[in-house]
Order: sequence, then structure tokens, then C-alpha cells
Amino acid sequence: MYDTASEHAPAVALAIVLLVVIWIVLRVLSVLAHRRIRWAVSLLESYRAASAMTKLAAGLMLLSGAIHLALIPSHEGITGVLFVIDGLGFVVLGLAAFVTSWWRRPAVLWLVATIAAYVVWIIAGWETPDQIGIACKLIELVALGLTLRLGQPGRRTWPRRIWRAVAFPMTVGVATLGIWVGGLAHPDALHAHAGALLQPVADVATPEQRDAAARLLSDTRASIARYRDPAAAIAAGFKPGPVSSAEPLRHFENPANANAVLDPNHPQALVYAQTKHGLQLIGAMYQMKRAGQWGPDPGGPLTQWHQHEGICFSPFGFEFSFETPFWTCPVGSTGITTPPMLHVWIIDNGKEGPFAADLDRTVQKQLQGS
Amino acid sequence: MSIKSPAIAPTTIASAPGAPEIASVLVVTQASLSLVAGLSAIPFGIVEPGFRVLSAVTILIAIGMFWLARNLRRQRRWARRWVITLEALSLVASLLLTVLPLGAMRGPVPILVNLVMPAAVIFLLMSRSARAAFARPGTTA
Repeated sequence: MYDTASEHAPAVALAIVLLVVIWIVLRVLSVLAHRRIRWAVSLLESYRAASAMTKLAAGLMLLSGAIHLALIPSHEGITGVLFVIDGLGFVVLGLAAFVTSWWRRPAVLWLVATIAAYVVWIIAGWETPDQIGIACKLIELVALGLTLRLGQPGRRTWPRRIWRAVAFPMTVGVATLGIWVGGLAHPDALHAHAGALLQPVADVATPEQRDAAARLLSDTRASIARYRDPAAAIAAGFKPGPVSSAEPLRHFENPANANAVLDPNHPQALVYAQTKHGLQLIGAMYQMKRAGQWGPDPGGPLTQWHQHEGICFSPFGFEFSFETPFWTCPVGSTGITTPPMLHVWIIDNGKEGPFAADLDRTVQKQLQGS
Repeated sequence: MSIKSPAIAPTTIASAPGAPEIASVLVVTQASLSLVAGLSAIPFGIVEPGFRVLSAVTILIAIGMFWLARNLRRQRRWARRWVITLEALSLVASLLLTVLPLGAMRGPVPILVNLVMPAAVIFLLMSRSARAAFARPGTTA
């Protein structure tokens, strides 16, 4: 659900470069201090006198600053201007940690403001959450936690104690929920619904692609007709998927067809709907072997594959929930990404069409009521 | 320089050295992320009964991690042992998931959260300064 935007990739390279630069700067300072150059001696002493927490907090702020500055070219208008201000602010505060005593409060304010601004931008739909942005927020959250711990505890009254205990977890919670809500409310064109990534395709199908899609539908319908009775499917090697009260559709998978590629005679799975009169065959599902390996799409935009990602899957009950933007799942479940799949619905799938990722809601309700 | 009286000194919490303090901040961050993961699974528990249990267990573990982080700062040796054990388990599980073709580790965020953070906590708590901080009085690291 959260990819790495290609225009954000330079930030990763810059993060690595920054580590090398910091090492070189420290080496140069050390050489200059060895030659008794006063400002270098003073700077090096300040650096060495700083605590490990201060060094790490400053390093993380410098890293965040560098990432923001690296991303300026890919952000236009007010967002680009804010990236300049934010990046420079982090660089100044990161350096100020070694040479001033007042840096801590401004750093806390700057970090909180940056995280809050990101959440606002995501919720407003002005920015799409991607892994570089989320990783940057994680870096800032850790820097915030360290900077908060560096403060001297004030008067030990209960309200202050409670505030000190809950402020940081609350910030992490609000940031996570904000990114989550924003990402779900404003999915990009390739994230049609929560947890599914669509194959990039052209906008309009050619006449040849329309014919190929129609052929795939008729071939699939003819091939799987022999499995209308679930018992026939089981006899042919299809294994019934788990029953779930949350999922009225049941997938019967056939491991023997794992290597077939979009072969109507060997679909990877059959899809049945649970109706009042038992299981009704409603389609087939083709699936590739590995995540990210898109299958052939003879119908172009009409036969668009999709893969499910960011799903917290529990092997205990074959149940699922969604991963948080920080890729965490409840204990006992793990985040998975399925290999790409293409559904072919042999019943009338309403306005969604015969190759949609999901069954049309109206059709689904009709099936459940039938 | 002030001299504390023996009656006051034992009740005063010494400021923790760098490594345990940094480790405690990382554990609090992990606990906060776990807490959100546990809370976010509650709506799924309405239709997925198994997730009610997983959600409750996750929230309890998150609370336990907050408590462990607090005791790391207080330099309790048992807290260090528990955190190292939990982080090692988490790291091994994450490494296994990396090997399996599940797509569990794609991109910088899962690597930072599931591999780098547990490894950093273990490294910090196994460091010389942490061993010295958690050593029994009268022993050396």
C-alpha cells in the first residue's frame, strides 16, 4: 500500500552520502584540532563533550534535514518552500546541539511541527504517503523521543508525570493514524481500494484488446463450467479455502496449477459465493508465482492484474487486518504481499465488469440474499 | 558541587548512561507502534474472532514494553535481559520472514522498524557502556 515514490529515491542515496560526509567532517576537524586551530579545537571539544543521546538526536535531525533538502526538486509551490525551511531548520538545530545550550526546546517544537505538517498534508491529499516520507517521520519520531528524554524533569507533580509518560506515545499514535487515514482517503490511481495495488496499464483498450478480453472471458467460462459442483473441483485437486464470516467468497486453490500462466484450462483458483442454497461458482482467479511479477494482460486496461499488500495475515485462523503505515501487525500475524492476481467473473458483475479486482457490492448482496 | 545526604541518595534516580537511555527511547517507540497495531486490529476483531485475541495480546505486550523501557532507564538487570530476549526473538522472526517469499520486507520502513530497531536495541544493551551500567555494584563489565 505504501510504495517508494521514484522521485523520492535520491533521498536514500543522500542519507548514505550524509554518513560519509559527517565522518569526513569529523576527521578534518580532528586534523585541524591536532594542529591547534582554535575554532576546530573548540568545535571538537563541544562534540566530544556532548552525550551519546545528544549526538544521536542531532544526527537524526541532520539526516531528516538532508532528506528534506534532497526532495525539494520533486516538490513544487508552497510544499517546496516548506521543505527548504524545514531542511535548513533541521541542519541548524542539528549543529546547534553541539554549540548551544538552548537547542532542545526549539528542536522539540520543530520536530512536532514537521510531523504535524506531514499528517495535515497527507490528510488534505496534498501529498501521497510513501515509504521515504514515512521513514523520515520515523527518524523524526525517534529524534523527538531522544530530545524529550534529554530535558531535565521538572517538578514531579502527577499531571507532569502523566504528560511526560503519554506525550510521546500519543504523538506516535496520532502520526500513524493520520498517515493511515490520509492514505486510505486519497489513494493514488494504482491503489483502487485499501490494500490492493493495480498493474500499471494504458488508459484505453484497443479493439484487439477488447477481443482478447472477450476471448479470455468465454474461454474461462467454458473451462470452469465443469466445476459448478464444488465436489467436482475437489476431485480435480482444488482445495477449499478457509470459511470466514467476514468473507462470503471462498477460493478453492489448486497447487498443481501453480506454474500455469493465464491458462483458462488450469486456473490457480476457483471462486464460489456462499448463498442460501450452498456454494455457487462465480469465477476463476489467475495468479502469478511471485509478488511484483505482473502477468500478461491481453485485454490491456480491461484485464488489469492486482496484488494485495499491507495485509496482516494470521495463520492461526486464516484471518486478516491491515498493516499500519509503519508496517506493524498485531502479534501472531505477519504482513504479507500476495503475488499478482486476475479475477474473471463468469456472472454479471454489474458496473465493475468481468475482470474487476472485487465483486460488485450490489451483486454480492444479491448473491448472499439468493 | 552539592553532597547528597545518605537519607536522600537512595530515592534519587541516577541519570542513566547513554546506551540504556537510547535503548529505552527505541523500546518506547516500538511499544507505541505495537500499541497502535493492537488498537487498529480491534475493528477487524468484530468479524475476525481470532483478531480479538491477537489485538488484546498485542496491547498487553505494548504495555509490557513501556514498563520494560521504564525499568531500562532505572538500570534494572532483569529488564535488560527481557528486552534483549524479546528483541532477539523479534529479529529472528523478521529475518525468517525476509527469507520467505511473503513480501513482508519491502522498502525502507519495514527494514527500519523490523530489523534495524531491534538490532540497534540489542547492540546498545550489549555494548560495553550498557554492561557497565547494568553491572552489579563492585563488579566490572
